Amino acid sequence: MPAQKENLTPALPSDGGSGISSDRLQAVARGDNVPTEVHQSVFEARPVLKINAFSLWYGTKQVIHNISMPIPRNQVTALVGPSGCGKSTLLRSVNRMNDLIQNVQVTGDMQLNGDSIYDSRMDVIDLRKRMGMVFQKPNPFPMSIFENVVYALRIDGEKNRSVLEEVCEISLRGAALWDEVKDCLNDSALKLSGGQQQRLCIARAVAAEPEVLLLDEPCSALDPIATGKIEDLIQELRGRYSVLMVTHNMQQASRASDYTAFMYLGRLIEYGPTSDIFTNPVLQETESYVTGRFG
Amino acid sequence: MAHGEPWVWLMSGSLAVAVTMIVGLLLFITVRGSLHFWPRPLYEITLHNGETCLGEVTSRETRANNLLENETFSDRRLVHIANFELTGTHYRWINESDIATTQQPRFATVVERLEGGRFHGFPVRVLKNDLAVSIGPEMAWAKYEEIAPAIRQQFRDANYLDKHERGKLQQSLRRARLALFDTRLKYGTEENSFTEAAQDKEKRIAKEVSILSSRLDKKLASLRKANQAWNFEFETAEGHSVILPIEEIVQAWQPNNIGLWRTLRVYGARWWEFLSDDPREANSAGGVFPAICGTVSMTLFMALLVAPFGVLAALYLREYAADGPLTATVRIAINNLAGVPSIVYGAFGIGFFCYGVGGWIDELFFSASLLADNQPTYGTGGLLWASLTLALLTLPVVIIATEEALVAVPNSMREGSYACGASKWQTIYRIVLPRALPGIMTGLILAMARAAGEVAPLMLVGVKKVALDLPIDTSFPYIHPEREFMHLAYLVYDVGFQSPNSQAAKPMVFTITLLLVTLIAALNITAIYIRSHLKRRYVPQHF
Repeated sequence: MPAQKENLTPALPSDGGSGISSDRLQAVARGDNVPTEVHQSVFEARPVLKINAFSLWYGTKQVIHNISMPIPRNQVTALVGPSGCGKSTLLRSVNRMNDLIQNVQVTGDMQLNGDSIYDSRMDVIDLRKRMGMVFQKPNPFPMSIFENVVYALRIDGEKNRSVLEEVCEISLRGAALWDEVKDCLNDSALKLSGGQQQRLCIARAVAAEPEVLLLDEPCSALDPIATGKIEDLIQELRGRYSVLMVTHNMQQASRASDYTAFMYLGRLIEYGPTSDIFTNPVLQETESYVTGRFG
Repeated sequence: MAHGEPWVWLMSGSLAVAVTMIVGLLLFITVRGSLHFWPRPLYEITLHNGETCLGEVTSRETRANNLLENETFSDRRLVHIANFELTGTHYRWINESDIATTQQPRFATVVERLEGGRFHGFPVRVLKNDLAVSIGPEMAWAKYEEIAPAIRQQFRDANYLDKHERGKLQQSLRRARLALFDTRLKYGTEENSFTEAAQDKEKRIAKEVSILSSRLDKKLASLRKANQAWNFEFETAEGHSVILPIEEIVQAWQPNNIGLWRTLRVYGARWWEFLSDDPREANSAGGVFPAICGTVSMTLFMALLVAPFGVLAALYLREYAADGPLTATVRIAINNLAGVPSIVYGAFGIGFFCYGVGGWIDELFFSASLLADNQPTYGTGGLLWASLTLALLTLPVVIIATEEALVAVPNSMREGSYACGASKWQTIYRIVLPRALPGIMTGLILAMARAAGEVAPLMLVGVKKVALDLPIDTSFPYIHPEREFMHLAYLVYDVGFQSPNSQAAKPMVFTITLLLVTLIAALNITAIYIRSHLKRRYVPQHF
C-alpha cells in the first residue's frame, strides 16, 4: 500500500544529527506494518476493556491500523502520540461515538467486561450508559448544575428526588466540586468557570457509575491551576473507576497515569506501565517522543 | 478619503434611507390616524344666494376652471354637512367666491346617531313624553348632558338582554327543530315512536320558548319605555326642525363651545367608542371591536396551528431524514412555497378546506342543519378554515427558521448527551429543542406578522364585511370555529374602497391602519420578550 504522506506527519528525527534511529517510524510512515511492543506487566493486570485487531476507515482512508491492547481495570491508562495519530478516534470508538459520523467503517472488535461492543446485537444506547465520556471542551447542558449531574439518571427514567439528590452529592464530591457549588445547585451550569465546568462534566460522567471513564484531552482547554486540580482528581478516581485518557501533554501522562500507550499514525507502537515508558522504554522512538525530541 | 470609506457612506446611507422610509410611514399613519377623532370646529356658512349650511371643513383645494381662453382659478372647500336624510349628500363642495359669511356659532352641535349618519344642528329643547322640559340651547344642552349617560346605559342593558337572552331561547328552539329533523332523517317521515317523541318535544319547547319570549318582550318594552320618553329637538342651519330620540344618540358635542379639557375628553371618548363598539353605517362609522376580536383570535389560532406542525416537520427534515436527493427536493419545495402568492393559498383553502373537508364534515355531522336551513356549517368559510389556510401560508417560514435554529445548536452539546447514554429523541427533546427555542420563536414572530396582514386569502375563506357575532364569546362552547369573522386588514380595504360614503371613510382607513400596526407590534413585542427570556435561560452567555 503506498504511503499517504499527510501534512500532519511530524518531522522525523534525522538519523545523522543526534544518532536516533527512526527506522520503525519511517516504516510506519511508508505504510508497512510494524510489530507492537507491549510490556508483559500489561497482561498481568485484569482488563476491563479488550481491543482486538481494531481498524477504522473514514471513507477510503484508514486511520487506525489493527490495534490490539487490553485496558487494565481500575487504573488510569493514557494514550499519547503526535497530532493525527488516531488516539481520539480510538477513544471515541470505545463508546461507539464514531457511529454518529457517516462513512465510518470498522473491522475488529472490542470487549467491555466480556461483552462484544461492535456486535450487531449490542444496543448502543445501553453501551454508552455503561461508559462516561468527558470531552476536550467542557460542554455542560443549558440546565441547572443539579440537572446536569443527574442527566444520565433522568434519561434512564429515575424520578425519585432523594435518589437523584444523593447521586448528585456523591458525584460532585467525587469530582471535587461539591464545596464550591453546594449552595447554588439550581443555578445555570453555564455560569461556572471553565475549570468548574469541566469538573461538572466529570461529575456528570461518573454519576451513572460507569465501567469505563473516557477522557478526551480533558485539560487542554483549561488554565494550569484548573489543570492541576483535574489531574489530582484523576488520581483520586483511580481505584474506583477504570480511566482511559487521551493527552498530548507528556508531563500530564507521567503524573496522572498508570499505563501509557504510544501511538503513531494510527498504529500502537509501545504500551506499558508509565514508569517503564518514561524511564526505560523499549524503543528509541518512544524515548524520543516522551522526552520531547519530536512531536 | 480613507480606503473603503465610500463603502461605509454607501452602507450608512442605505440604512438611513430604509429607516427614514419606515419611520416616515409610521409617522404618517400615526398622524393621519390620530387626527381623525379630534373634534373640529363647526362653521355656519352663508352663501350669497341665501343658502346656509352647518358643517366641518374637511379640505380645501384650488381648481382650474376648464375655460380654454379664460384660465381662471377658483378655490373651493369641502364641507361635511351631514344630515343625509335632509340634504341627500354627506359632503358638499363650496366655492370660496360664493361664500358671504362664515361663523362659528356657539351652540352648533355634532350628533352621531345609531342610524342615518351624522347630524349637525342647534339644540332647541328637550322633550319628555312630548312635553318640553328644558327650553333654550343652553338649558337643553345641560339637560341632555345630565340624562344622557343613564339613558345610554339602559339602552346598552336592553340590547344585551335582547341579544343574549333571546339568543339563548332561539338556540334551544333551533336545537329542538334540528333534533326533529334529524329523527325524521333517520327513521323516515312516517309516524313512529321516535318521530312522535321528537315532535312532542319540539312542540313543548316551542311553547316554552314563546312564553319566555313574550316575557322577555315585556321586560324589554318596559326597559325601553323609560328611554323612549326622552326626545331632543334640533334646528338645522336651513331652519328645519328635527326630533331625535335621545336613545339613538351615540355621541354629541358642541365643538365651538368646549375648551381644551373637554376637547380631550371628547377625543378620548371617540377613541374608546372606536375600540369597543360595533360598526355602524356599513363600517364607515362606529367601532371596530368585532374586527379586533377577529384579527386577534385568528392570529393566535393560526400560531397555535402552525407552531407544532412547522417545528415537527423541521425536526424530521433536519434530524431524522437521511441526506439524499429526496430530502433536498423536499427542502427546495418548502423554500419555494414561501414565495407562492397568497391568493393561491386562498383558492386552495376554499377549494380543499371549505368545500372539500368542510363539506364532508357537514355531511357527516351537520346534515340535519344543512337540509333544514340550507346553510352549510363547516362547508363555508370560517375561523377554522381561515386559520388553517394562513397556517399553511406561513408554514414554510416556520420550517426554515426552525431548521436554522436546529443547525445552530452546537454539536458538542449533542455529543455530550449521546455520551451520557441518551437516545436521539431524548437528546432532541431535552437538549436541542430548548436550545433552539429562541430561533423557533423568531420564526413564529415572522409567521404571525405576515399572517396578520394578509388580506387576499382571507377574503375567500371566512372574512365578512360585517359579522357582529364574535368567533369567541360567552355562549357555549365559547369558541366557534365555524363562524365567519371580521378582520382589520380586510376592513381597511372595505372601508376605503367599497363603502358608499367614501369621503367619510377615507380618514377611517388611516385610523384602522394605525390600530392594525399597533396590534401587530404588540403581538410581536410579546413574542420578542418571550424569546429574550428563553435566550437568557438556554443560550450560554460566555464560555
